[in-house]
Amino acid sequence: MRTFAGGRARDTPLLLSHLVPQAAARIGDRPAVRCLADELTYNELDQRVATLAGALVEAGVQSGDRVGIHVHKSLETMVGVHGILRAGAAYVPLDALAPIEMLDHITVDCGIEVVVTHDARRMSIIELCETSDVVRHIVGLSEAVPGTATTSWDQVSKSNPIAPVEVLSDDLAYVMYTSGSTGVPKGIMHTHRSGLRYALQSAAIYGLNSDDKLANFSPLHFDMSTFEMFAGPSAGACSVILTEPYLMMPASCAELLSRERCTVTYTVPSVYLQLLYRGGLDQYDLSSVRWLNFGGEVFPPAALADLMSHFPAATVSNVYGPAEVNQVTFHHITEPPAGEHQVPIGRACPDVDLSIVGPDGRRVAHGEAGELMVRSSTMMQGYWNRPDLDAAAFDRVIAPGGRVETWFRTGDIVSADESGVLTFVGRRDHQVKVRGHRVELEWIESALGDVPKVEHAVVGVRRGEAGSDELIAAVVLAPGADFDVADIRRQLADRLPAYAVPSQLSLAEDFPRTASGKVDRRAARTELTGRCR
Amino acid sequence: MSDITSERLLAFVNSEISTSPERVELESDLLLSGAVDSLGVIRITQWIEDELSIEVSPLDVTLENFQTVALMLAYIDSVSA
Repeated sequence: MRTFAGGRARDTPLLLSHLVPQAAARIGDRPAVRCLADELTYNELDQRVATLAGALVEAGVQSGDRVGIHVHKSLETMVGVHGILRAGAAYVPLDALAPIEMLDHITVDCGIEVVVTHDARRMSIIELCETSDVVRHIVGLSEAVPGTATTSWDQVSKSNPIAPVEVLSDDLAYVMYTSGSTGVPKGIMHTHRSGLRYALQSAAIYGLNSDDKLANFSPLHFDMSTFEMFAGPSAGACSVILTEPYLMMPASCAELLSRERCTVTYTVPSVYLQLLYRGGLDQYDLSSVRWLNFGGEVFPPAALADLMSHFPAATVSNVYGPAEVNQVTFHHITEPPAGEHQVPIGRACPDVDLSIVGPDGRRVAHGEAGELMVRSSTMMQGYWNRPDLDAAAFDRVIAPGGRVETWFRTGDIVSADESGVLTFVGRRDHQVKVRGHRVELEWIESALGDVPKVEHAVVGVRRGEAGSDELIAAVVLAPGADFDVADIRRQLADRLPAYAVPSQLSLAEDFPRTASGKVDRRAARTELTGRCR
Repeated sequence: MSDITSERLLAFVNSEISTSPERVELESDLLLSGAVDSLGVIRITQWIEDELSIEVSPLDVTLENFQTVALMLAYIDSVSA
């Protein structure tokens, strides 16, 4: 028998699942989440979260279970995440647009037996249930999936509402999968403590309050989403959900940001660049925005200066931190960057320790570039079921007195100026960012190599016309094979999420070779990106 | 709208843009199906500009004009008139 010290009406949240009921108790009539014409107040959100948690417990979900969430951006995004957490389980985002093969891998790897969804995803849920051996219960479909227990949202609304199932703050809260270099996605494990520390810290840095409306750009599988999901409710702010079609149509998106009077925006530079170049921003009043936050990529300075001219009341914040550690540094600017100087990633957040080390593991001399190491309360617990990756990612250092310090190796190369402000220099490996998504070039090359008619493939990055980076690929075909671009793209789409499918495929006779006859990837990539520039 | 433009646009979307296993038809919802992502939308507008010599105002790239190939064709018709 496990028991926990009680007390539900705490003033200070200990768990992510405390955020919604506490906001409801304080400001229950204020809006919590808006999605186009729909809105839930904190009282209404709390009620829907409570009944979903009740339905999940009735479906057999127990503390520590991993529950999948597979939804388009909608009110159910917020209800689903907080409902799963309230049931004592950890949520695992299943990207609504990822190939079934990838979702199947995640459900098996993470042991996901229950998935929360909605009717818009019915077809892919049916496909997932046919493929997956582990999924046994679907919550959120109006009609049952053959061979799988199903609970509809209508039945959910009639379930017994429950208070948060008490777990420990060091227990698992969510697992986010990201690309690995071999093509096998890896699950980043965050606890209630690491998620909550990030939420409270960013709410404090940006002074969030119940008058704020946070523009919700990021899909759930993208770690930036935790800002709107958790930092928002911790401050009683309202999350304004931008649905996928709006995100693809910059002019529609700009109109919505203006109409909703959003006060905080947080997304990747490539999304802002689309708003800048294609959003018709001068047509809209965007003076309600007080924080314009970006992260995940370097922002081209001239474009950032242009963007700032459309947001007259906004302070810009460059937010830095790999998904493994959440946000660990920030740098604010109120004046547009001058010339071609990129915005620094800035200084450490409170409760964060940073160190810049050389290849020998020693701290570099002042001003030199090195790999950024991080130690913080916002750090992940590790990678799901991957002790090999944990061993590579964490550096455990014995500090004086025998105390063990755990440092995370970011793989990011940075340098510090005299005052300790950090600037991003590059990567230690071949990881690149495409529209904010982490992509390892080897992963795509390996997926291309799995296409039967492709003998060798090389993938590179070029600066696209929209101002953000695009993936390009060249292939050498097996003898006698046709170069059918559409067919290769479709086969790739079965293996990779959409953002990782190169936007341009070209045919090569052969690639540069090393002395031993292997493809010289470095030379081939240079040749490819030079040709397509 | 000529049938030729319709066929060419559908062929372009299916071969160069869509990553969906199902063939994109005139009325397919491109945005929610995952057949087209934000970069795909940009490439479609570039195709319309280059191949049809039509200047597409960024303000016209909206849900009303681009959610399906049929809506794109109606838009092309309205601006080439």
